Amino acid sequence: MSQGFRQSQAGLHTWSGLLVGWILYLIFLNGSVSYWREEITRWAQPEIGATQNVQTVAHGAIAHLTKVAPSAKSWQIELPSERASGAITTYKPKGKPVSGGFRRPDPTRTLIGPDGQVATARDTEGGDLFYRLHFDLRYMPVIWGRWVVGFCAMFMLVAIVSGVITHKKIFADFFTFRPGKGQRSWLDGHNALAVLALPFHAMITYTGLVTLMVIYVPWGVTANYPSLKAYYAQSIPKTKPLKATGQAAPMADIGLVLKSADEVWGGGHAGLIRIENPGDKASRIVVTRRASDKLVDGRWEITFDGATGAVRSSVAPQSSGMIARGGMIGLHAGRFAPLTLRWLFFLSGLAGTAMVATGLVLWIAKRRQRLPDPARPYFGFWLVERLNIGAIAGLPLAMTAFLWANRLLPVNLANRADWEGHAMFLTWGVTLVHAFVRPTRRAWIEQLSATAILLIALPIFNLLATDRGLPATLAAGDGAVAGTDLTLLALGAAFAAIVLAVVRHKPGTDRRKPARVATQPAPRVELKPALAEVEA
Amino acid sequence: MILLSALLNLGGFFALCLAMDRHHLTLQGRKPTSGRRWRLRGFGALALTASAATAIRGWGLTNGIIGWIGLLTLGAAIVLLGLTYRPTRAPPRRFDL
Repeated sequence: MSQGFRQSQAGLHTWSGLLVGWILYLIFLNGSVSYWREEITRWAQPEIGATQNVQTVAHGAIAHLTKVAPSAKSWQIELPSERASGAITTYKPKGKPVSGGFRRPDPTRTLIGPDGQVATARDTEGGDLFYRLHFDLRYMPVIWGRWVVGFCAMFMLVAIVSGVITHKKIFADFFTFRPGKGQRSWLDGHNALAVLALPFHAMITYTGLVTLMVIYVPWGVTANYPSLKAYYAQSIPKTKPLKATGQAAPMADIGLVLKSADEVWGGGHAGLIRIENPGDKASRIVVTRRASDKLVDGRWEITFDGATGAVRSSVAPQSSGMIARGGMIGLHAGRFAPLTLRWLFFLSGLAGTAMVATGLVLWIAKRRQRLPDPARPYFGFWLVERLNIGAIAGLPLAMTAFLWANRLLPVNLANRADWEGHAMFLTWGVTLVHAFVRPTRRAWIEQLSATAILLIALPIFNLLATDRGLPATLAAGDGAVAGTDLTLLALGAAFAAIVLAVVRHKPGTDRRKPARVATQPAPRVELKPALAEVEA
Repeated sequence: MILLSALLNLGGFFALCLAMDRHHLTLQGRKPTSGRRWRLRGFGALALTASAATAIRGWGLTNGIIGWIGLLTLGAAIVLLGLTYRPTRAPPRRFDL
């Protein structure tokens, strides 16, 4: 009975994993990279240096908005977190609202540099591209992307649970990795990556589903509210718009407002400022708390009187349901995480990516030896093997191409940010075709080594062609940009190491190796008495 | 504090690894005695608990728990890699406990 159950779970694990494996790989890899979303954006906009003083930026933003939109209905200022730089200002003119999407920023959007002056930077999505791709996919309506991602995440959850059941020796093989033994090694690697980071894998998959749970499982909401809109209206209450008096009045100093917001939150930080009826006697300043302040993702808001700067009211997440959900979203996105913790999240995410990749390769390794004629595999084998190359090796190459497009595309190109994305997906298309037309071994080596070379060349390009090369950023203590360059170097070195392993690996030698390894421990045992004497 | 937590983590997992017959055999050339196995297990459990305590001290309660779990993954992974890619030329060292 137990054997039958375990075997059924093994089949479930294999096929649920394979079906969505390539998309899961994309989700995992881009999600992991998104832990450095702000840093990548900083790296992608070398025009903007690090922010030293948020007050300077906030004052500069107010000065800019006062100049360009003195009679707007409302202003909005997005202040930088400790990892980002500069501020983004937008405003809504009086009259009908003009809607602006996330991917197409509205025309009122202005970047304020760290010195408080209006700054111009290249048009790029930066780290947002990886972040959005991770749950919206691309080139399709957002809602479709989210359904596809949700479907894959559900399969991931199935694969995790069935994988734990299938794995016969979780504790006996806890520290075991036997390289150079073909299928055995892939299984060991897959197991180690899965088991050692299991808390992360289970957490990230489950909380990932929770972030979009209202889309996936809306019935709890629809049973209690007439519509999703009504639910949102109650869970995220909107304050009534303030009627302008038409009497001008000077605005309270934004620096003092931010200071008193920090005091109300007991050492918190402002993330977003919204000003209604700026410059009017009846105006309001709403300050939202920075997401990095708290684990729980939720709305902490303080409303100030715009003219006097006095605190009018404040909001914080109240219901236990909202806090539980906010805690899970916070844990998933890791916005709260300080640097060391962030590295642990990133490394765990890479482990998850590698787990998916090794699982996909394992499917091939398991079936290769049973092929009647390895030169002419059956269709399914051929398809999976080629897709593995195009996804596992092709996607990192495409992502690197995005970074290169960010550096090389002309600054005044129309729709430049879009073209950076196109560069990534055109590259991915080329790698997929390449994977299908080249001999498999050559295809792996060529794509992996292209990734290694292009990754390592990026910091070198920065050093030679921009004034934000590694020595400069290190000397300036600009950890975000220097860290990104160093990480690119490390990733490039990792890809180079993989290339070397593939080149050195001679197909067909795997099965002979165990015999040689088995004879190895013998001489070491003989050494023991002699060693004990030396130590004594 | 966090570095200490990471080191305790590593030490804890190394002890737990040595407490297993197969790995003790590879590293020490023989299986552990029953008493030694339990001492290693006890030391491992103690070190991992101490690692949790130091992580919470360094990071605060919320981040400490999350960070400790992250360090568990890292510590176990380092022990696994160390075990796999240890320099085989060097004679094995004995750890007495």
